Amino acid sequence: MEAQGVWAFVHVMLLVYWLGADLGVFYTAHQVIKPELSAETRAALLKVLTFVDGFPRAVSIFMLPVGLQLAAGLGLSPVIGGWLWTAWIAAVLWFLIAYTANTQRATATGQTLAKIDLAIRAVLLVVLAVAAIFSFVGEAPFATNWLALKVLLFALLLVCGIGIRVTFAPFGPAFAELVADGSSPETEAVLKRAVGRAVPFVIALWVLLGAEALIGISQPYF
Amino acid sequence: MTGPEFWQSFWILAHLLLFAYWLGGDLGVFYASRYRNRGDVDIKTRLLIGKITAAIDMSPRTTLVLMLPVGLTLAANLGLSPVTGVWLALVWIASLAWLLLVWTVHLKKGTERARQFANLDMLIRAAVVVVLTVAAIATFVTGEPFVENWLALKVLLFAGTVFCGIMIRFAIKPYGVIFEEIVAEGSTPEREARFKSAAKVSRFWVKSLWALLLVAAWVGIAKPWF
Repeated sequence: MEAQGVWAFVHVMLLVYWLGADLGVFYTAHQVIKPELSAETRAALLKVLTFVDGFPRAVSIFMLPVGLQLAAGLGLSPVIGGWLWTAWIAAVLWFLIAYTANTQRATATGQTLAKIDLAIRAVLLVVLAVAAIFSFVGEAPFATNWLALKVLLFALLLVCGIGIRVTFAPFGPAFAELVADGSSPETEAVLKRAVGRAVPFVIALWVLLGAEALIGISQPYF
Repeated sequence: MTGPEFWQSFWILAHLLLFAYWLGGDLGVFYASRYRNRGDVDIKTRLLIGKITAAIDMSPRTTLVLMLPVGLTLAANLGLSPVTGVWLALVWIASLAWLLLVWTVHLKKGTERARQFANLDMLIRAAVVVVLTVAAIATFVTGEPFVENWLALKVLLFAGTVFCGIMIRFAIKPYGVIFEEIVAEGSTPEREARFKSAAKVSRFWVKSLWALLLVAAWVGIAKPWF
């Protein structure tokens, strides 16, 4: 059994639990905002949504070290050996931060961790975009343009993720209000707007993921 | 990239996306259905979650049907399958007709036509399992109709997933009846217990299906020679 094959399999599985699980999240989100449903039903739906959403959140983080691992195996990336280990450790730490931020959302620690998570994403998107552009112009750090393009699209995926976070931010407090004080036209409007504004970012994210997959499959030369 | 190379990439992408919306879509169905099965959740919530589960379930239901023509198209392009040209076009037409049937069963739920179509759908699934299993075993023994053993193994695994799907349908039959009882006459510990045991059987087949899908993905990526 070849290691590269195992990593390719893992890479595919991450896509499966990112894109496929997102469909459940998307559909359920559009049910949660229906004012005609009881608060109890909506709270139950939100629990389902939160659980399923945990999968895209987790796998999107691990896509990066797994992608670097594959690129290293192909001899296309300078991130090898100790650097690759560092990337793995950093990804695990990032996952723990993001996971805790998500599960402890209501606490002060959770909110601090959410800010750190956002900062990590911002730094990472700049680093990845710069690395991709350098690879297009020169030959380094990534040896082929298709890989550089995948890295650039990953930076755009991070932008979409940040966009979803920002547009969806009012949802949590509004939903807490709904559970505590019952439905009001104002709360319903906030919930609906939060989901509606996140939709373009979600669709963009799906299109980018499809493009990422197509580039990875065809590895076009340009 | 040449034209054929682009198209093969396109079909691989379609194959991959079908897999994503099959297995990944199943996750929402699986978790939401656990909620529906809880006796302590109010019945309106359970009914609605049941509806949502059925809607999300159309993702795996659709992708399973399309996996067959897409897989055969890929195999034809690799020169590993005798199903080419007009035969492949026929498989596409038959699959799209099957898909229409599957969607009619979902959209017209509760009608007489949906019941008839559901029975027809079962027959199609049984036929698909038999035909694909025979084709796979014939390939292992004689090298035909599929040239490579890894492809024959994928075909066999696919037949296995369709078989699991049939078993899930059998398992959820009593499940549907008990749920209707709970909706109509209320929840009792005895009803919930029967409901849970039916759900348990169905979950076993769902997990078996997932295992087969994972192996099929692995075989497709590694293309082991044996």
